[in-house]
Amino acid sequence: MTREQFISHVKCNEKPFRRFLVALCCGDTSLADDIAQESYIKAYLSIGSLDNPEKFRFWMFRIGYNTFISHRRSERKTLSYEEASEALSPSEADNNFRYQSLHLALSRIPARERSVILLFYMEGYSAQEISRITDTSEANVRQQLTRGRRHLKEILEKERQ
Amino acid sequence: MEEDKLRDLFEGYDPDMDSGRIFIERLEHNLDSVELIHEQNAKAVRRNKIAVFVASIAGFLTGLLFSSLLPYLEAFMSGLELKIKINTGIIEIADYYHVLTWIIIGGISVMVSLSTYDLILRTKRV
Repeated sequence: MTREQFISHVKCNEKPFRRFLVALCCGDTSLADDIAQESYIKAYLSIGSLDNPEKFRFWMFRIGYNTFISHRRSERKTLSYEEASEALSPSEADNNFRYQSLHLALSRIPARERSVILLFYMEGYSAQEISRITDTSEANVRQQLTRGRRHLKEILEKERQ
Repeated sequence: MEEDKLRDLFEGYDPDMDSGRIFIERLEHNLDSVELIHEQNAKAVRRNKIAVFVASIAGFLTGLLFSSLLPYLEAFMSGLELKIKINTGIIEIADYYHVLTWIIIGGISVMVSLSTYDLILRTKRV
């Protein structure tokens, strides 16, 4: 795959990928874009390992998930929602206000559960596909999905009251 | 909260982000940097291979040259041995003059190889 072809694939897929990363980073758009850039560079460097270009999007989610997890490991902790909100510019904070409760709820569930929930509900991947993206068993994905769903439901309902 | 509501919540999720154009421009810039580093690395590897090849040839030729001068060197060392025997008591060392000659030839060849390698890597262009 040439650089032009790679860029053309990126142009077709960057929006859902970045949107997934923003949700994964609980609304921190600058962190999400940094992870997206790093993921695309990793992808470009190992483009030879992509045997089927039609699986580019799926492949990118896998790289993005792994980059996010290693970023978390290196950071040891992510910003809390309050810290993340302070880091946003006023306009970004205003624009993302409508997702405040969702970001807050996402920031309160473990990163792996959050990833599974987002891949399932936002991107529409099946448990089997998610198990390939996150490199875990399908049973584990289903378990994380059930737990994440329950956690999210509890937090959002508590927020409403 | 029902399953469908959770699905709706995420399906309508559309946070404000930088425009795709800005993102792609930044990516293009990062890819330029990555390609530049790749190119530099490839050049460094090529230069290193050439340096190793030339240095080994230089070392081999030096060894060959000194080996062809071996009769003269041995005569010189033998003369030295006689002097040592006469002037000092270090007979044990003097008896091994031919071994010493080979050690000196080997040492000089290695020194020439290393210097050549260093010299090639210091030059800007190969």
